[in-house]
Amino acid sequence: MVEQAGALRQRIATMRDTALAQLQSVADREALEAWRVRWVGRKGELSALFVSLSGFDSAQRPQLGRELNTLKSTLHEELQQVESRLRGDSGAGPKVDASLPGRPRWVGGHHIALQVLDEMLAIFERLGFSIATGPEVELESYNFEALNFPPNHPARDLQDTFWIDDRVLLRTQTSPMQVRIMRSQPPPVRIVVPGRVYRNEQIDASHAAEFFQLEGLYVDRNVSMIDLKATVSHFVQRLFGSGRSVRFKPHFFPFTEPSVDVDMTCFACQGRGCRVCGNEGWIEIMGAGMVHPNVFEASGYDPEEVTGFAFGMGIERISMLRHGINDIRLFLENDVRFLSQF
Amino acid sequence: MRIPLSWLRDYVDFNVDAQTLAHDLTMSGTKIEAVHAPAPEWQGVQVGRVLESGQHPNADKLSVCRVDVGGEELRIVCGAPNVRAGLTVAVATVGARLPGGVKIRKSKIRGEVSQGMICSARELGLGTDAAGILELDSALESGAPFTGVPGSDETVLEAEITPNRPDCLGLIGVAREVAAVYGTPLKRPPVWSEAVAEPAPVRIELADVQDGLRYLGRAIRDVEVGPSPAWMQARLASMQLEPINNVVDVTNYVLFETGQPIHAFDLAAVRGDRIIVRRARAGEKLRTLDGVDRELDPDILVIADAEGPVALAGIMGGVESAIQPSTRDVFLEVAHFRADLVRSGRRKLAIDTDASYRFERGTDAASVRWVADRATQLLLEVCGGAVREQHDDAYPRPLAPIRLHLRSARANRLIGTELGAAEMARLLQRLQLEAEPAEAGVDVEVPTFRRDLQAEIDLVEEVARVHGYDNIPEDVLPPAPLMQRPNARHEFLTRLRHTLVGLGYREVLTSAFMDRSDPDRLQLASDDVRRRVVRVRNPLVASLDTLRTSLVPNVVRVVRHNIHHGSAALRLFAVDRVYVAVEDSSEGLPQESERLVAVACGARRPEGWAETLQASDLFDLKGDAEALLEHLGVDSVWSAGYTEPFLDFAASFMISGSYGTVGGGGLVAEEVLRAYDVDTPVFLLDLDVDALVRHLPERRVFKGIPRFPAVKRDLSLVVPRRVAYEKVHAAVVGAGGPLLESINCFDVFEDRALGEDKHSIGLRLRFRSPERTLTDDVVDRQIDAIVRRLSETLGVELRRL
Repeated sequence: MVEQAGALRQRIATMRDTALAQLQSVADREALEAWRVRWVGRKGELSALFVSLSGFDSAQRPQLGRELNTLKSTLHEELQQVESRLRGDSGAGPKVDASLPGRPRWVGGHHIALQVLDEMLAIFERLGFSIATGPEVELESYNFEALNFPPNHPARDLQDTFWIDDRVLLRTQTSPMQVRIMRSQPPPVRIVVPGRVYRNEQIDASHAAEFFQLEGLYVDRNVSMIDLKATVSHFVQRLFGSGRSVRFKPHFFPFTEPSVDVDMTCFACQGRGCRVCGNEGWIEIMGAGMVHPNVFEASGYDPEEVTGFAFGMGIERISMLRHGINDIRLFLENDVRFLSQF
Repeated sequence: MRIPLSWLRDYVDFNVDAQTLAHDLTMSGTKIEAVHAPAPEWQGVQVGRVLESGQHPNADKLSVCRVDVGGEELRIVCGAPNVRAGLTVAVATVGARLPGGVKIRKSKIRGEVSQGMICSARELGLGTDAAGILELDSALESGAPFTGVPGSDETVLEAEITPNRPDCLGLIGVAREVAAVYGTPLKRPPVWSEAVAEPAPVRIELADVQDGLRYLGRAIRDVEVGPSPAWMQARLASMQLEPINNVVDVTNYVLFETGQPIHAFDLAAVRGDRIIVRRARAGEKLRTLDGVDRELDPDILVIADAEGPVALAGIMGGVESAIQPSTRDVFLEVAHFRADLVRSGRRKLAIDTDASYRFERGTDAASVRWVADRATQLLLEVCGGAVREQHDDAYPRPLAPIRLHLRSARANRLIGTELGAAEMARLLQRLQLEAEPAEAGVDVEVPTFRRDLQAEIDLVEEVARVHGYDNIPEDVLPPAPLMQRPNARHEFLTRLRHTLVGLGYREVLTSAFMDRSDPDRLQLASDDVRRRVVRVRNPLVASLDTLRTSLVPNVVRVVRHNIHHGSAALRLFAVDRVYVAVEDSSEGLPQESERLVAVACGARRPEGWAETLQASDLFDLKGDAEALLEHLGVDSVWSAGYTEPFLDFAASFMISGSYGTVGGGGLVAEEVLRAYDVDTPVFLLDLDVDALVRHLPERRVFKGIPRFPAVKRDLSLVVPRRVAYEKVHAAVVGAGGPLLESINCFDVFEDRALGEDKHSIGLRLRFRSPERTLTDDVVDRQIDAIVRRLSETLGVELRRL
């Protein structure tokens, strides 16, 4: 390989000398065209050198490629000069300096969290999920009771809540929309619910008191955990790239049973273990499970008739993972030096 | 929940390393969040005793200490606030290497020689505490090599125990999970079992009996209170608990072992011969073990003696009846209280203890007797003494056993498996459930320690997790799409956002909270609807307790942030929700609706070589607003002046349509900008998204491309300044007739020659007929009519050149 690289460099040098020498003797446009075809034409000698690049490994290719590109621009520049000489140009320089930048324009852009959310929605829409939205100021009965959080139960401690009064709160999850939707339409249901949720938590680099979630709900006669895994697996491959797989870890949510935490193969190390995934090879991306029969009953569905899955994930968290953002507070700060990176 | 592995091995055998165990437990449902490896071995770290600690002559916060490290005396400079003479400490001597890679050298610190370092827990790799130096047991001999603190040689798993699994808040419960994972048997620790004849010295009375309430009291006589043995202290240390005395240590030990909180009273402090479990009476008081005087009321369940409360049931004991060094007789309590009562009591008193944490999640009423015997075993072993009298065990309404039937077809339908009933029974048996295959399913008798298993669905989950979620395939096609329900509103919001981005605006996402003072800062009138705010009862920050009724304050804050951080030219927008309190809404919820706010400030164009820098003005924003509404196809009427208290009326415009106001925009009023600490002009557009939606064209209908050419005429008009452009425009439209196709204002020209109170406006008019090519005289007649109308109604004249 080393000899080959040396040989290629030799050919580059030779070609440079020979081609430039020949160009000096070009006297008319016909001869110039012949020169062009031979050296820099589509099937010319320069192209042949570029083709030979593919025989080198990835360690050598970039450097050799750069050397070839230098040769290419030299030949093209010289060609241009001879061409203008033959055309009779004075050589006083170009009429415009095309190397100046263009007139700058305002460049708009979507907030990164909403970009990611829009992408997620598009993926689920193609899977036949409809989009529904609901109130952020929510009744306690939808946010907790109908979702099988018994009153005065420690499960409620899982989500620190902002209260408006004894029966109204800021929703801690998008899940209350499960109940609202099921109460408003007969099965089957296949929806995703994007929206802001609130947790009364001290704010730091990884905790926000308000953030966005995407909730999914699919209810039909025979929905099983296989459908859940297939859907989630498809989703992560679309959002993070193919080759990811997902795994379920048993977990607890009052409104699903069985409940799972969903992990996907770490996208940074392909599962080998790295800093991003804390050496696990897996990254937690959402909570999910089979809709609890009590939730069906609270929603007016017969749990013997239908089954369903639900999932929920944090948009900022997924954005942070995918784009290497290290502080959740950046999302609400809206510094244009942050926003303009995406 | 901390799980020290050597302790766990008392109850179950496993032949895997800590990492594997952590993985296997996580995958079966006991999520391990961290594996704490045993502390490293230290080289060159010795036990030392601080002989003297004096002020460093050149640094306020440093001390210079004389430290005895066994026959040798070292001078050490120390920065810890807790260093003092007499302390036993860990000293890293010259040449020592600490776990973080730090090598100790002889050094001078601010001019004072330091021959080593007195270490904090963090410097020793023993945790995260770096607030001060680690204080060691004073019994350690100086000069001895430092070998860690009790419990630091232990591998500990840190588990997240979900609220449905209180049984795993004790090591025996965790051991049960380990046994289920590896199919190994559970080992039970020894318990006391002796026959005693004397009657119980204390009678238990239960007032306020509920299902499951149980209270067992047993006297243990002639104990010797003192420090507990080293092995027990080490185990409590691995739970990060300080040893107190042998009796209290046994109660804590049993709590971690079994998950059942127990309490020990000094029997001598129990007044009378009975213990009553009852609601507190209004006005009763109790000083609890943490030294706080607590006011009680009937929502709180207490343990009382003949004269008054002695403990908060399931939460914390009282000071008066606590075990003292002088205690001879112990009264041991093992009980089961109703979870929700403990929870509401401890919430009311704002305390959270290891005991209440377990009671409110649910303990095992049936195991009370076994736990009492286990605790007795340990007390007798560790504190001496004897049991001579019977216990009193009040359990008037035992919890009914739970029997469930699991239909295997149902489980398979949910999980997506094809398991037989026998296989399911086998999986459940691994969890110590009594499961027998029976008619197309499994009959299960739920053990008392798993009262979270209340219904068939709970068994489905147990089958699924023991079977293993990895056995569920993922390479199956997702289910075929259903008929979708279009969401027109979401689609419109998306289109709106995309259009603004196309116009060069950057989207921001701001907090849904605004400051309490924002309505005032926006100068809103007292009856402005945006003062009908929704307030949060328990905000994170007192001033941020109000949901926003306008996007304006937070968007202006974003402007300020960016100006202060060097970006002065901004084009930003937000499409987001506002929340307005409404009376008599159907569910008593506020009205949530979307608004659009866009702002422009700073340079008109990003800096470049081809144009001179100019500041944005009202017409930059207005042009963008016009482009936005034209793109959306909104049929709207624009007029000068928008009555919005936060805008400068003289530099504002209003947009309305056939169904009312859509919104408007303009220069933000100077006082408002000042209130937000912004010192450059900001132009702001604020639109009601619902109003936009109302004015959207239902369907655009093709009108045909004109077949005949247009005739173009330019008018140069001299306009008195008091006449607004919109009046001129309206007059031209009114007089132009049906053939007038468009009016374009192409020039506004200032010229002294016209007079102080006049300026010139250039209009380009296009006339077109759908039926024929227009002739000059037809157009001339219209132009004459227009000029006449302008002159007669507005005093606007043609400019004579």
